[in-house]
Amino acid sequence: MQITTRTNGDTLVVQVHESRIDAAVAIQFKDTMRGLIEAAPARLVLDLSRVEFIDSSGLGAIVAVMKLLAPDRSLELAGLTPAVAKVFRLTHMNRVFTIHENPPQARCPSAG
Amino acid sequence: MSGIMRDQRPERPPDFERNFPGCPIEVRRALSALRRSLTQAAFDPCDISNAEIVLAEVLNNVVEHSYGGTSGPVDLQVWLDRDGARFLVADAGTPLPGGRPPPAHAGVPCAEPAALPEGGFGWQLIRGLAEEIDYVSYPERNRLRGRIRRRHRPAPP
Repeated sequence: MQITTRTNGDTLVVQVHESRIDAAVAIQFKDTMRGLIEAAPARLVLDLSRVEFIDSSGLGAIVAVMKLLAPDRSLELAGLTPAVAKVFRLTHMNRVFTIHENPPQARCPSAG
Repeated sequence: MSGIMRDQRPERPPDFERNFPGCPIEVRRALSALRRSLTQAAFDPCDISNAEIVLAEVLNNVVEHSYGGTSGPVDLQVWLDRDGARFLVADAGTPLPGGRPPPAHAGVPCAEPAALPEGGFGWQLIRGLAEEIDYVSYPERNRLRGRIRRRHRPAPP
């Protein structure tokens, strides 16, 4: 499970470098995330822009991560591809998560 | 041809067929092959993802619940036409509880994180994207049929 992180102010941006979060990797995804979030700041943004497919197991794993972070920390999502967005919409999970069109941009060093 | 599929064959041979042992990696392979078939049949990407989502859930249910940790044979057959895809999935595992798919549950989940479900999304997705769901459990064989309607149909020839 290829996952990278970067800190953007008080936000930890977690990018998933897998084309699928499905039943074959859902447990691995959850375990990797569990390790990452131990020292996470108040806000996590999960960048799913490389993920082309998610099934109910993958969705359940993302919900589980959100529950691990609650109530003091939040999990937001960004960069949903069409098939992934459809799964969130059909299960109404799009109303549970804050979903951003794009992940937060890395801050440019200020000029001058 | 595996033995669990022999009776009740529909009228023509399937356009796509896979027989595989029920485990997540094999499900992934079957879905990948199906995606290629649908692409070759000029299905729209949106229709392809609908089919992939439905069949991922149907096949995951077989692996997780019907076989529940053990493995067993899974047969997947798909017929394609201008209107969409008909599918048949058969397994030799435990039948669905009550011998039928779970009832549809409506409504938006509670936004309180602790109360959110981490499962049960599979049938929601199947019901949201497929129709004519028909499940029958025979002795030593379960089969689920359904249809995924094509949203983006090709122009008539």
